[in-house]
Amino acid sequence: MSSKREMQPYWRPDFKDQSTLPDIKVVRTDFIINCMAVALMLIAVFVLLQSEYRAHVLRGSIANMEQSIRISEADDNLNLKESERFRGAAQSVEELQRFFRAPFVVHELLVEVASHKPEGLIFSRVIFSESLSKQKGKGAAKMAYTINIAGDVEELTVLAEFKGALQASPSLSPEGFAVVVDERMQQRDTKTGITPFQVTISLVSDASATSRKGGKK
Amino acid sequence: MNQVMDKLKQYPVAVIGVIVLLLCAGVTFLRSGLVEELTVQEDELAARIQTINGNAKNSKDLEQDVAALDAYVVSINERLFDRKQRSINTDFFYSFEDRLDIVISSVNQLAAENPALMKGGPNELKRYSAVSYDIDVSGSFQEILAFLYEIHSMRGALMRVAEFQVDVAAGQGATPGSLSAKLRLVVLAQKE
Repeated sequence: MSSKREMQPYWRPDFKDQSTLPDIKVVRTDFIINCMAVALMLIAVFVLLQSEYRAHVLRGSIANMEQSIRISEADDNLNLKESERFRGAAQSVEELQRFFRAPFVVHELLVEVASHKPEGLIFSRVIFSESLSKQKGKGAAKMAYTINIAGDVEELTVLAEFKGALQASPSLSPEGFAVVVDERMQQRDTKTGITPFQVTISLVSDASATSRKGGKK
Repeated sequence: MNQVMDKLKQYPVAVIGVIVLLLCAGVTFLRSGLVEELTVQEDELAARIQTINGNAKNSKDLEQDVAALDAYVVSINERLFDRKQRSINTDFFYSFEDRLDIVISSVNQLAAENPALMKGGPNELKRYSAVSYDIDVSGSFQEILAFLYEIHSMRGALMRVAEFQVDVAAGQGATPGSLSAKLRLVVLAQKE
């Protein structure tokens, strides 16, 4: 009799055992857990698919690019060879330009100096020379040019006029050079009244520039 | 253990969801390097294509330019002096006497090179070299000017006057109005 009573179900719930109680929340816990799990799973699937899609797109793009490079590679190699040839030939021409780099063409210089010679002044010697000018601690050597004109003059005002004309001449003041015109006189000959003179035009280069061009590899 | 199993049985959808989530996270993690690698590869190829396109753009009319420059270089090479051919070189200068009414009294090939054109100089030559000559000439002002002009016109050789000294000719045989000139010429020569 007593064992039969024990087997009988409770006639009312045991409120101490919460797991046996019905879920009476507005939104059930099962639903929230399942939803969260499914949402997280969907996010993970989305991220994976997106990454795979991106890889697929990149593979396609790379294949297209590789094909495009294969097609144009032969032309590019030809262009690079031509560019190399251009560079070599350009170096020769640049070197030729460097060889001829000078502020004056000498026959034009002589004509220019002679054109400024006033009446009453005689040239006995014209010297043109180039040299390297290197100052201590000031980097590379620079080109320097000197024009030395020696002669005789009766009146010193004529010499001053000649010096002024040389200073004012644009041909004797080339761009990129610092120009100094200076004159010196020797003792005047008392018998003839002639004064031997020397006018020196000094030019020192300010700077030099170079340029390069060509294709990339 | 039974309690855990009970819980798992209680939420089968959540369990499957978590398993799929873990699998996806694992695969995403393992393959994350692939996208990075492909992106780098794509960037490299894009840069290469850009370079190729740039080269193609810069190479427009390059063939004609190269042909024109090559013609210049051939023209330069034809006029280069060979410093060992002293007699031929000296005769080249004396040949000006035939064309111009000047007298060339001496032509000396100098051993020393022009310092401006040497290594380290401001006009350093790498593909060519230069030979210097001292030349004594006499004639009228116009004749000496004509000689200087001939030198400048570069017929036969590429040369320039590095230094000159023009004096009024003095002495017993000197003609009135006659000038004597000492020239230091630099001639472009083959590289030794």
